[in-house]
Amino acid sequence: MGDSNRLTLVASDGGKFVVDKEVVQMSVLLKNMIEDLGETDESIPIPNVTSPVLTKVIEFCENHRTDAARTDGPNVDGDDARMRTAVVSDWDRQFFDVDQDLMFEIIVAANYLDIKSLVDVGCKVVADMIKGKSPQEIRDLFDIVNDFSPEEEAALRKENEWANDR
Amino acid sequence: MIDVACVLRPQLGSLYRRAAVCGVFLTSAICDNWRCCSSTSTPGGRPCSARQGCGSLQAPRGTRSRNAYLPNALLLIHMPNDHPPRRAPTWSPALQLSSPNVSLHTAPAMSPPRKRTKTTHPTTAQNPGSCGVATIPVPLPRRATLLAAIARQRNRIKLNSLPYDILGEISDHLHPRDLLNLALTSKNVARFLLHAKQEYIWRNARLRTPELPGLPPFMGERAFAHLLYSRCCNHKLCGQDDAQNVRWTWFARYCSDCLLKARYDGRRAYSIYYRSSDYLRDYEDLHELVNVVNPSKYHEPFAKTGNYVHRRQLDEFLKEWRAAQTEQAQHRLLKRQKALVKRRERHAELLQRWYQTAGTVERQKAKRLAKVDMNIRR
Repeated sequence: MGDSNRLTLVASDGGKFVVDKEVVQMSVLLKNMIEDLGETDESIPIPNVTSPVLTKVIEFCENHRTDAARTDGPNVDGDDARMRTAVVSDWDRQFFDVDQDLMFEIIVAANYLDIKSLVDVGCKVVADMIKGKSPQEIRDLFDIVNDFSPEEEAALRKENEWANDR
Repeated sequence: MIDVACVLRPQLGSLYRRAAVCGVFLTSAICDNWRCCSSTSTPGGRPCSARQGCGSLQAPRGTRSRNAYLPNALLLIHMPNDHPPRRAPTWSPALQLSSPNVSLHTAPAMSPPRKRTKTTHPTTAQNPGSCGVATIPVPLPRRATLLAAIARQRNRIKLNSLPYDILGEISDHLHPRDLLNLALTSKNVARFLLHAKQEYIWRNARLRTPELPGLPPFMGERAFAHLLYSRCCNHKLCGQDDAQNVRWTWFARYCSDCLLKARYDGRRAYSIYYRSSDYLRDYEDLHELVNVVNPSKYHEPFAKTGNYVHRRQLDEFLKEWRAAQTEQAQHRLLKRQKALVKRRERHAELLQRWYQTAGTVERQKAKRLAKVDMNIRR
């Protein structure tokens, strides 16, 4: 405490993490919270994120803290979201080389904390895992239970289901 | 990590065993050949503090099996070789095991041994003050722990249970073919991807694929992706996954059997057309009102002379014609239909060209996926 450049984050299970303000500010949620609170020594609770997930999120933010400064400029993503073609770096790929539960928890936590770059990288990694696979292969990979009845699945595969707006 | 926890209760001389494996409870399973410690001392010589025994799971003397027999199931507890036994040399004390070491098999025919064999157990020989059985200490019942494990299992985040905004982000990086396959994985994903609001995901996916021809104005994004990449027969009574016959002028894909049902040959089409209305028969050419397929162009199976007409298109047009009551409405309908037929012809040519070039790769990919799916189903 006392160091105005550092903050304490408290995970949902009570784990405490002391991190630089610069790192924390990659999260839009926390950035707004710090701005609202002003200079304070109080720790910030993050109720929806557990310690292992928060550890990974902080690891990502610390590694990408220099990127954050670059993306502060005017609308780096561009207006055309569909043309996002950035490749996932080796470090990011390594970062997401964890079990699927943790991977999805990181993405959900990043979405909650509003860390756009982490959500984007996570979603790209998941999308890469889906690419080129059949429905059954996707189910096997992500442990998804096929909850369609045979009739529903047959109906869904037909043209009419796709033509009608729901 | 899957915990196996046992709760033992002495009841009517038998032990009731309640095991939780992956959150599945086996209730009231009698474990006859295992006993609960009822003496006042444990094999280690220490006094048993519990009122009804130490609460540990015990095997009778001489039992060397590592299986716990249950009436309807056999719970195999495989002890790791490198695990040092703490109390009994034949039994590892650890009962909380990770999933690779525990397997559950149904074994209705198996019954527990009725007689105890009279052998001196090494543990009892070394500990004369013990109750005379090998003991596996069991953690005390912890309902909260079990419920937490089950809740954890239920609350697991999976791809199909992700929030919709994240699912949208993931989908925004996919090719139309992958979107199609993703939508077929589970109900929740299908509900999301096939919702009218998510049309933009399909549009973005199409625009990221530059080799694709433009979207025909009379089709939706999802229907277009389905036509290009799905190999499912479009006939309402068929669900075959390997429909090869694409009729681009009809914007439909049929298997060989359904193609015969989905078309009218020239003679039949004209007979229906002539019966529909005197006005149509006298003043309008059928070719201008529906898209015809030339059999020589498409190598139509069982082709007779004359062209073929899409049954659905002709039926729909005649239905609209009958519904149009006034002369003005009929003229409007005729004008619209003629324009639609021309537009379809134009887009069909583009699609045909795509199918013959870039579509070849797509066909191979789709064929591979269909093959994989078929193998998995078997």
